[in-house]
Amino acid sequence: MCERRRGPISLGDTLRVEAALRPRDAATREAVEALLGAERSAPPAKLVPSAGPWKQNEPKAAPAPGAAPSAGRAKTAPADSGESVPAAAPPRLAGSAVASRHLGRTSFAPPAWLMTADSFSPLAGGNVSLPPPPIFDRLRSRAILGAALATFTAGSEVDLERATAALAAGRRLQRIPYRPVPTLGRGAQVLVDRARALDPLRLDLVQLLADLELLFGPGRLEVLSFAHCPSASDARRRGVWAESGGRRAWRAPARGMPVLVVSDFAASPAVDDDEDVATPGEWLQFARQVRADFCHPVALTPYPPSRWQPALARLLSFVHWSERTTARQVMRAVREARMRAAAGGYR
Amino acid sequence: MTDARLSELEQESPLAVRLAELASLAVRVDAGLLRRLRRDLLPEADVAVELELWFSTLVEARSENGFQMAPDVVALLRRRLASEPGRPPVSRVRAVLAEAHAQVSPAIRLEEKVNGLAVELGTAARPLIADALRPALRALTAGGPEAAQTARWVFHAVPRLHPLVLATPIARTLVLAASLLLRTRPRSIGGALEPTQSIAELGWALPPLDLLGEPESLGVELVPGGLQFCAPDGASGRIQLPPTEPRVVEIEWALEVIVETTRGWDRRRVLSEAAAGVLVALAGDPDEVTITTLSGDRYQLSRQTRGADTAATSATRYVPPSPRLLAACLQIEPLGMPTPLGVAVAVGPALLLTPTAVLREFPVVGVHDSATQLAWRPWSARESDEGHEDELARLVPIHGEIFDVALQASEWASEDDGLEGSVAGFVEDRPRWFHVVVQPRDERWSVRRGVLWHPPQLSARELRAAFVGSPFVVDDRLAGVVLSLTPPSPPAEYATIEVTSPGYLRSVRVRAGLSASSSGLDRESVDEVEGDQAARQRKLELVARLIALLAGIRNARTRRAQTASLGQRKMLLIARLVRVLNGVAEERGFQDRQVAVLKEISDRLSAFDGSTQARDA
Repeated sequence: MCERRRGPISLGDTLRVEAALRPRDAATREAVEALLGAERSAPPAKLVPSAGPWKQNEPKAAPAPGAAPSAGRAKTAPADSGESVPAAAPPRLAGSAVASRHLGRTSFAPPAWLMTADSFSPLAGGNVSLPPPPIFDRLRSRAILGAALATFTAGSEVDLERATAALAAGRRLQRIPYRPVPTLGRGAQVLVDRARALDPLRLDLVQLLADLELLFGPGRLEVLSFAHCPSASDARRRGVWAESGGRRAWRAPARGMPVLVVSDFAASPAVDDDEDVATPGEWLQFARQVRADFCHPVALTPYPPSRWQPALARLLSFVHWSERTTARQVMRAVREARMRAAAGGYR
Repeated sequence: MTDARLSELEQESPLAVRLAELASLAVRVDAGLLRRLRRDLLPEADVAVELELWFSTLVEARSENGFQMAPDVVALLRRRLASEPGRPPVSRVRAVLAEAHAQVSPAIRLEEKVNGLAVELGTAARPLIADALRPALRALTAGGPEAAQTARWVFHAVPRLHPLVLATPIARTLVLAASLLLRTRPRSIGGALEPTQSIAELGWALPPLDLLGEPESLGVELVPGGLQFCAPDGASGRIQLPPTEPRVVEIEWALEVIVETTRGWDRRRVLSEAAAGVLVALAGDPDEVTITTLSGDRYQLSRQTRGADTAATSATRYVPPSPRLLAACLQIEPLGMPTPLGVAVAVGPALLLTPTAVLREFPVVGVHDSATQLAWRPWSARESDEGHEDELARLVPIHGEIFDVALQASEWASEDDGLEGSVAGFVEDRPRWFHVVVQPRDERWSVRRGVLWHPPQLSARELRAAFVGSPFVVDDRLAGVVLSLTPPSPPAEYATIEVTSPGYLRSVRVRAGLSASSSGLDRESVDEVEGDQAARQRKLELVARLIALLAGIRNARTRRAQTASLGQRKMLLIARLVRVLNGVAEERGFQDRQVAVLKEISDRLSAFDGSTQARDA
């Protein structure tokens, strides 16, 4: 707010002027005072009809794109640099009379570089990138998958600790205890989620199956596909299928065999054009079913532990499908899961 | 600048946005590319980030093998990649992209290469982009199936190409040649034409244009300051154009140059779109130009009325007004805010005009870089404009300052014709004259549109603050006031302006109380429009202005530092008073009042003299 300053015309000046001019009416006196800039504020202009031929009636013009900036804009607009302004068509200007004459036709010479430019075959080559580098490199893949899918069997060394403990407790040794050793001999059932949620990892799945084939050898791996959840409540989504063969209900493999499930376990962001999405409840039911059939369920998922369903994580041995995962982490996770299962904690 | 989709993903997964930035140079994103970009350039991200981006809303089209992001989002992502801190060098991104796409088609690799160059190097990449595109242009002109394939690729690639790529002459040639080969309209010619490009650079690559159909006729006129294309009907000059889209011509003319008393001619050339209404600036206002079309047809246009005494057009060389008159122009700003609003022009010793739109919410404004304050004095009820909103407002100095230079108004030679003149524009706080051409009368009574040639390179807001309110001066007299300005859209070398019409300015002059003699109005017309009552009102105003001038003398003491000397200042005031008194003396039936006022003035001058002498002593 600016400071109110005394105007250059005093009240005395105004009175002297009015004395000199002798205005006949109040309107004239007000006009004089207004023109002098006297203290009395001028009333707002009343737009009343008068007989002045000042301006013709004309249609209201559309606001020009380049109209002067209003005060509001001046206050709020930043120091603009690239303010976008709609281009205005130029006005039609009055021109001089001209004479036009056709001088003939010229031909345009090609540039000198034309002869030296490389050839160009737009469609040669494919349209996809080189395949993605595997998430688990070859060495780590063997170690991690081995740790995740190994089962334990009696080895060739006597377990002296267990034997000593039994004898010290006064129990008879009915069977010689051998130290358990991990083995892949039982084989594994692999369930691969073919829903759209794993589209980005389609080539990684191919690589993973190849690694498993190498790890287990021929005949010990049962690879089945499913979409969303193998034991979904909805019949449309339920079931598994092999590479050659129709859809069928999932059946647990032999007792003690590991079951590797590769899926997003309902953790993927919604794919708007995919109506069939498994629910966490369906996955819980499936995990319980695997446990009930005395198999070892192992879950391989690209999402980090923060997105695993806690209830599901208690039933399944989760392995994070990530470059950062180590075999040691996997062994620890599998051991903990089996201990929970032995203690009945999975229920 | 941001995007709702980008903000949403940024909140959910900032790393997914970073990955999207890295992938923004790719034509199509797939798993192999995403994995390499993430592992090489975003090692802190996990595999899940690939999935988050794949299924994000940034993706416009998605298949099981890959996806494409929305073009508007891609532009934002590229900008962020090049400018945000903490991003890897674009050259590294390009290298990873080239490695991942080593086996994709040359068309995709070429598109990614030129886009990457534009993002990495900006305008410096233009020669490299041109080199990269040459093989494609060669294939396009060679004919055969590869030409058709290249044309189809160009047609589909245009929306994905970086604006800098599209702005290169060779890209324009590619786009135009491809669209002509496919018999389609080009999806975009790549923004504005590059005026310095030669038409031969475009024309050599095009297929025979005679096959496109009958050529079309277009009118062309030489206007003050340039050339304008128009409808062929009624135009004095005509050319025939092949029906390409867009129609492109090259305009060539000779510019007279004088180097150390030696006169010579410099050939100038500009590439322009040719369509009705298009206006092209031609330096030197030539009398003769040559136009070459894309088909190679050449036309010569010669001005016929240069120097003739025809009132219809302004056919004389542009000469700016006297620099002395620039003192009548003041840049105004809100009190306490050093952001100019526009310009006010002094039309009397203590009276200024400016567009109402400039003042809008400010009853009092300051003069830029000055202590002078101006008050908006609204038109009173008796001065009303029959309910119309007034384009111009009047301003008076609050502290009684008077202005040494005021512009005298003039009539237009013919109100139906156009007019060539000057407007003052403020560049770096100093006014200078700019060439303006105003169109003939159109459907709006109070406003005429015009063209401001070669405006200074300022932002839109700065341009308006520099010109809106500026006087339109012809022959050193006021012919109108600039009401609005639309900045040029490159490469146009003109801004579009609106100025008050002669009829409207006449109305303002009468209502603002400018003297009949100075405004050029004859006595009868004043009386006719004002009537007895208005004439009396006007006389009162004249006298009141005299008193205000006297008050200025008092304030002159405080402005001593701003004037050469107090004595000079006083003499100036007295000289101005005498001029105004002469105006009063011409008013009829006013002798008695005049005597009283003169006495008042005399008394005040004596008092002023006395006090000055006393203080000087």
